[in-house]
Amino acid sequence: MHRYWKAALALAAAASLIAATACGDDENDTSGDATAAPTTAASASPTAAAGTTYPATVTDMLGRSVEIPAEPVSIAAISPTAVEFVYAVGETSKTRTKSVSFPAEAMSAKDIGSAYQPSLELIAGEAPDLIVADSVLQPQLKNDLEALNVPVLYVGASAFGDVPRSFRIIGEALNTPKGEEMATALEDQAADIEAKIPATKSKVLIVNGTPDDFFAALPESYVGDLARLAGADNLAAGQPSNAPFPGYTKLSLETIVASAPEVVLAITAAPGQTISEGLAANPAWADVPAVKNQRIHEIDAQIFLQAPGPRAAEGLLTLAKLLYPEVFGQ
Amino acid sequence: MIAPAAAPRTTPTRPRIARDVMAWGVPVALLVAAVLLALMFGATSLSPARVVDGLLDRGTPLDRTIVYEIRLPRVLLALAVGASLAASGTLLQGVTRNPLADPHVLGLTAAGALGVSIAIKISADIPQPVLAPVAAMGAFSGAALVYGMSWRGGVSPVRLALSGVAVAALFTSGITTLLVTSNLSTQNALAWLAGGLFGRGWDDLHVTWPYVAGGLLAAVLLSRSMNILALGDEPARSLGLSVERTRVLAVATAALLAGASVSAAGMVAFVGLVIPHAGRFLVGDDHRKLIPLSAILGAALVIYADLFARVVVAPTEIPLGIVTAAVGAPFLLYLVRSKT
Repeated sequence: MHRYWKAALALAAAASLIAATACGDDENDTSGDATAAPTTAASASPTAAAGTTYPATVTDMLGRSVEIPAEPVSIAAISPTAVEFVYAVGETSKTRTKSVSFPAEAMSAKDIGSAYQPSLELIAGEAPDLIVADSVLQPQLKNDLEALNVPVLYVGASAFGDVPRSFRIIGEALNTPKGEEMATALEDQAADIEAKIPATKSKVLIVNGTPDDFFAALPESYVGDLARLAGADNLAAGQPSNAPFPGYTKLSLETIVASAPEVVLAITAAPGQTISEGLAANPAWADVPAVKNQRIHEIDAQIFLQAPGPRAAEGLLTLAKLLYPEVFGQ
Repeated sequence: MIAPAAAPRTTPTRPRIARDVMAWGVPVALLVAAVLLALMFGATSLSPARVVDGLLDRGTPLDRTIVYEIRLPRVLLALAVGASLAASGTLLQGVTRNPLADPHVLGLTAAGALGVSIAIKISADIPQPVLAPVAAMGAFSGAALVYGMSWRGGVSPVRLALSGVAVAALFTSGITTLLVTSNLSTQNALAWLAGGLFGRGWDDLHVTWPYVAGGLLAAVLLSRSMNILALGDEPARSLGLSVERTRVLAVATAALLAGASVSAAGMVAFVGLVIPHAGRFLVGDDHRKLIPLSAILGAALVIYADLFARVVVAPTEIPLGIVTAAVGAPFLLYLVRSKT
């Protein structure tokens, strides 16, 4: 009885959300793409489907075959990326992690703690029929989650190419055409940007940390991959991945100054002074072209670091505009 | 030693019964209450009736999942870890005749944890069944190193304790080195070494319990020899005890128990140090009583500590090792001030 009530509520919430996003301001929906109009109209109805027949077997981002017996109506997403993926295809999650602040609708979902150690009891307590976990942050939770006897689907992104894959996986699992739509729109957008990148690329340095202690993102990191697609000539390329997190490197100040970055993209990980403020005030950086031309930019930590994936379209466009404002606008 | 001095000699049974109820009944009641409370409380609270229904699979599937799949294996692992550490500490305090000895202080847990860290550094997704023997082997080699370093034609309790402290510092610095030079995924994999039972389930219990059961059995079998050893090396020899063999077996058993607890819960400090003192307070120095009673008390302490770690900042958790240290550190200070 209880379960049905929850299911009905979830369905109603999902339906209203789909309706809201369909007439919302999402860039991809209003891009004027020929295919956008019919599919958007279709997703306004809660019965819109991607043609998935249940029981379904979906291969997730960890390469696991996930058996989903019936169309999920009660979804538990357990990382910032997983939550955003679920909402991005027009569904709702019963759960969220503590640090989630996007989308606003997700804030009313149950707080289950940190993504590294979510409360298994609270996840089970929401009686989900699908758990959506993070293939980058949470592979070590696989056994714990599978013990809950609920199908566990892993999505996530450590590179741009993972994003359309994750969208297709989640679209298929939840039987919503929004997954394929988002994936196609993202691939089209990347191709579109690639075609417009000028022949002479900007020399870019991407840094992450605090003004006093930061690491440079390699092209192999998520933000580094997005910057590569946006036409960055990454000055850290070829350096060893020797920072505490994969895909980042520790560069000496001399190396950085000598490499003369034209654009610096900064992700400040801690509250307080931002990296861009710190570098602009540092005399050692005074002659660096990016400082002289005021092209040090803070970029969103959630989009590029903490919740990589679902907002890749927004992220890619942001980077393209920062690197080539003359082509992509301010 | 805690029997009333004025007890009349003609009726020795009544105060003895009262003493036994106090010494055994209270710890057993504490342990039973710990298990029940730990099954009832967590990020959500369940009534005792729902706990029973969940255990017997008569209630809702959700109660079954929370009680049987999530909480019960974790509570049983806390029980196993607490019993192991307490028995290990009792053996080590007996062998070294030092009230400050325990598997943590003497470097056995650090040695087990270093073994696990190296294994995880080699492969971040190494399966749990492999970690238990790795931790046990690490603790054994740590024990061998401690024992070897203190050997000078024989092992004196003082040298054993001192070389243990040195080895503990060495291995702990080794773990720190591995941690700071690792990438994020390895650091995640190593996070539980700080002491915690997050996400432990039946798989982990199945791996751990044979080591714990074997170690506890060995500890009980050693208890008579431990009593004789407590008289001092010379008196023990004159009573026909093989002193070195007893010491080696006791240290090896302590290492096995420490390794088992490390593979299940990482480095949980102070349990092995504090509990034997509480046990001695209740039943005196007889290892035949002290070892089982310490195991019961240790089990109860770790279950309560893990419960606290789960509920105090729910839905997040604090590491179990921090809770036991918060309980153990003041007790250690009290011990230092009252016994020296």
